[in-house]
Amino acid sequence: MRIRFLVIIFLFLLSQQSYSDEGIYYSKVYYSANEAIHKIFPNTDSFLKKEITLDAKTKQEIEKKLGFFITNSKLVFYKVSTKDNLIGYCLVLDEKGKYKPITFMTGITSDLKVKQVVVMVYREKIGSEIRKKRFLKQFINKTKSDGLVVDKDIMGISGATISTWSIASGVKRALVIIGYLI
Amino acid sequence: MRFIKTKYFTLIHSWLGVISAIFILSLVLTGIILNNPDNFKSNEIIDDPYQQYPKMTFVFQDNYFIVTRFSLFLSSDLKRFKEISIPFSSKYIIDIVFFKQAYWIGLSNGLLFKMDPNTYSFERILIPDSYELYSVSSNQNQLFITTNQGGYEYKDNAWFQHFINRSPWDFWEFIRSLHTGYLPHVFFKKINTIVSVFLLVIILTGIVIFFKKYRFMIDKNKLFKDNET
Repeated sequence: MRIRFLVIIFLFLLSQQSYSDEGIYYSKVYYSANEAIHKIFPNTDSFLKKEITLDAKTKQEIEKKLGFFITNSKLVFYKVSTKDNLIGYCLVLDEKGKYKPITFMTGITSDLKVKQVVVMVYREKIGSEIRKKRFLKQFINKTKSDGLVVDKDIMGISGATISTWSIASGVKRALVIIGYLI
Repeated sequence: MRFIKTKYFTLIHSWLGVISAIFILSLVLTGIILNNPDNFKSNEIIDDPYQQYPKMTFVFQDNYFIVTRFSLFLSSDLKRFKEISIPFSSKYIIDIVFFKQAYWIGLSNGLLFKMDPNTYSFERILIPDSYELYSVSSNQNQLFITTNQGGYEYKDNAWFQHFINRSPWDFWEFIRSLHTGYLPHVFFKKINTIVSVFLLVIILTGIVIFFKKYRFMIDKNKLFKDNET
């Protein structure tokens, strides 16, 4: 029994060690855009993909509202509908984590509230806890007037600090951009 | 005689164990909370910066920055404040300097942000790969940072390394990583939390065992007394 316990501890430490030996970069795809849209809006019948490039003036105005600069002017968003109605929008963003960008989709209802946030691709070894429901559900029903500051409006996750900041500022960015574009 | 000694030792051990269990329990629980500060939400946050646990003040020619546990405030007279919307947690701020018409804000976990003084817009500035940022300093022409990797100067939008940190991994660093779990050693902190949970279980089961045995001992004494009479 004692040996079994020591083996478990040893394997745990070994797994953690190999974790750090593999390096900090890795990439895991959790959802494709199509899957993410259906996860956010399960009753989706159709969606329309739109690719837009923000012009300098629009970018500046959004940045002013947002409080931080937009590094990528090219955006991909989806208009999601059922047979009869437009039910919401989904915006795919790449937010820089500690080293690599985190690709995630923010689902926004037609009355401009967050429906759900889905992490699509995570590219770092540490911090993937941001996919946890208890973190992501905090964004539900948030609007662009909410601060979305970690530690104030949003509770972070220890060990995934920078990733939580990236998701929080990314959701804020999505709300402001969608609010501006429609 | 030998039986009596063991009995007394058991008694002392049990009672001291139960009394200290309460304190150890509080240490374990607060230790877990301090080890994972981001996972616990604070009470309602009041807008007044002086009621948000202010921890740093940075003085510039025209204004002051006040860093609290939850926010960053800007003030010209320390009486009226403007809360700045920040894309990070204020508790990580270690330095704010003014350099080339912008405020540069350094965070302890190795990030550096540049803030436009007119629009209060933030831009993340990439710094050389570092787990920790210790300081940011500037004069008119120089911006200098010190990280766990060494000292760097920002020149023409690039970083130049002035020195490399060659300090050895020592006992103090081990203790620090055990409690802070900074990036290459996150697993130390996880072990600490796991062992704290083990300790919590040991204490609680110990208390249960104590009271069960204590009741048994009382019953046994009662039995002996009944037999004697």
